Amino acid sequence: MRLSNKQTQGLLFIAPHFLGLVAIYILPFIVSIWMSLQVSSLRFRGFSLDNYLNVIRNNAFQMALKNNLIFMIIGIAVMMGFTCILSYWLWELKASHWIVLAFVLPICIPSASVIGFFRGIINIGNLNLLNTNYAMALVIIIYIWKHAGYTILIFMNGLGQIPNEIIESAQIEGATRWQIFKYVTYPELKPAASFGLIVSVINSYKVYKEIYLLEGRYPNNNIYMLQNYLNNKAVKFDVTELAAASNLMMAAILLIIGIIHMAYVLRKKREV
Amino acid sequence: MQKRSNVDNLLLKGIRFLAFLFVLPIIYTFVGSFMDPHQLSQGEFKWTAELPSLTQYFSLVIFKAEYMRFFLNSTFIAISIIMLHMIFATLTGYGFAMYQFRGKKVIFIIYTLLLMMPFQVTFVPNLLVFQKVEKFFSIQIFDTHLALILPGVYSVFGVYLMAQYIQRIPMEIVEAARVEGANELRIFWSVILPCLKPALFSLLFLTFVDYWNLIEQAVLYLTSTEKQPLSVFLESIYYQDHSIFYAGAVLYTLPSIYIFIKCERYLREGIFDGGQR
Repeated sequence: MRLSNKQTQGLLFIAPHFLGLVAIYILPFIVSIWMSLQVSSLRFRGFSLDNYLNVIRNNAFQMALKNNLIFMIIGIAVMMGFTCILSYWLWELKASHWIVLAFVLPICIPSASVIGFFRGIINIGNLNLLNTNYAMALVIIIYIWKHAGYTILIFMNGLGQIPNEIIESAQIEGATRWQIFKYVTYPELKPAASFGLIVSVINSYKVYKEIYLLEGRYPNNNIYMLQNYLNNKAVKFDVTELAAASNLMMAAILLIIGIIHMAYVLRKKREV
Repeated sequence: MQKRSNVDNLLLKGIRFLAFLFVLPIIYTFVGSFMDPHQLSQGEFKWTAELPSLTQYFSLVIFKAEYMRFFLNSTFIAISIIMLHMIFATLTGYGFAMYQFRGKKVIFIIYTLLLMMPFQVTFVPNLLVFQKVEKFFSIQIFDTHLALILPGVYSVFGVYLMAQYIQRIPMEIVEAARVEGANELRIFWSVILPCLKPALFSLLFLTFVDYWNLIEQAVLYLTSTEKQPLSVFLESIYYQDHSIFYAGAVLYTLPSIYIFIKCERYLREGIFDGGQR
């Protein structure tokens, strides 16, 4: 295999990081698939799908999965809607950049330093609000507070990309604000919205930080999520079931990515 | 500039109030740090402290200096990861953006897929590797900071950011340098690097934010208390040593705010394009 000089240089540039990536993420990931199919993690005794079945049948796993899905679907929907509307008005009303910064600031405030405040709100008298049925709503609020800044920046950036001529010509034609939003702004924002969606999904897993700091390893059943399940399993260091569980998660994510990608490719083909 | 209508003014007031709500937790923590510790241990939080005092800070810095150890832990972890990750990310992003080589497409797809994977998926391979390496090479990894630093340094996000950004640098500059006879490394150092300032600041900010607030990894890999970073330890002070909690929280937050002030301009100016161009 002969590589040109240019090609070797390119490979050299990416080699330090890529080799580390292979060593720490990719190779062990293949090993984890192997291990998740093992009967025992100590001695090779044969293959089986038992690990996967045990994980799926496990009550804690099912609860964690259900909570995670509820949180993601509702939380991300609220997040996208809220930040889209907020960014639009921040842009329209030409709010000063200090106000925008106020919304962005929470993303860098470390979780541990604000738990004083959150504990103040959550513990009313003898009642711990995170132990009630409103726990999920509270967690969603914390999630939006902490991560709205990312999507707001993305949306405002997207709004800034819309050429002024289009908006001005629409205004001259006498379009109302709502019409402009519906026919001009909204379609132009779609790339920003999809990027914001990806970022929000990635951030939705980070809500574990606040839940752990506030409630510890075993929070109330309403907010016990996948990270809790995996962490608690990892403490025992029995990797076969752990590997199975995390591989399930990965398979689910890949499936969703695959479906979205297929939908995107099919739509492109139809447009051509 | 037209006068704003009444509805607009009302909306703006509403937005200003919302912005205030967003910074409220931070204001609360700051105010709390100036309260007298005795008042705090009684469990009451008064908004206007009767005796605004710096006692908390004194107690923390002078009498409880051992807590500084955890601050140093956090600092060590964050700085190690930031420095190494930025170097690797820039080099790798440069390689992706400027060169074509065999297998590049496959490798890039691997990077993209890994970007989508949350911590819950990526930590299991890390765990496995650490177990094997500990057994075969007898280096201790669990319960050291290495277990936190390695996955962070080799994470994918920075590579992606730099690659996207470098791709948008106009090639004429590079071609001009090549005509002048500069070799590849020289081009990288003197031509590309200065253009990257916004991307570097944004990457600095995002990496810092991720690892100053490290919790999942610390909970998983660190068992001895003295190695824990402040992100996890601060929580245990809330009940143990409530009288200095708020001062500790403020000191913990200050580096974040400092980096935020330094870098927010670059964030707003457009690293969040998301591939629109």
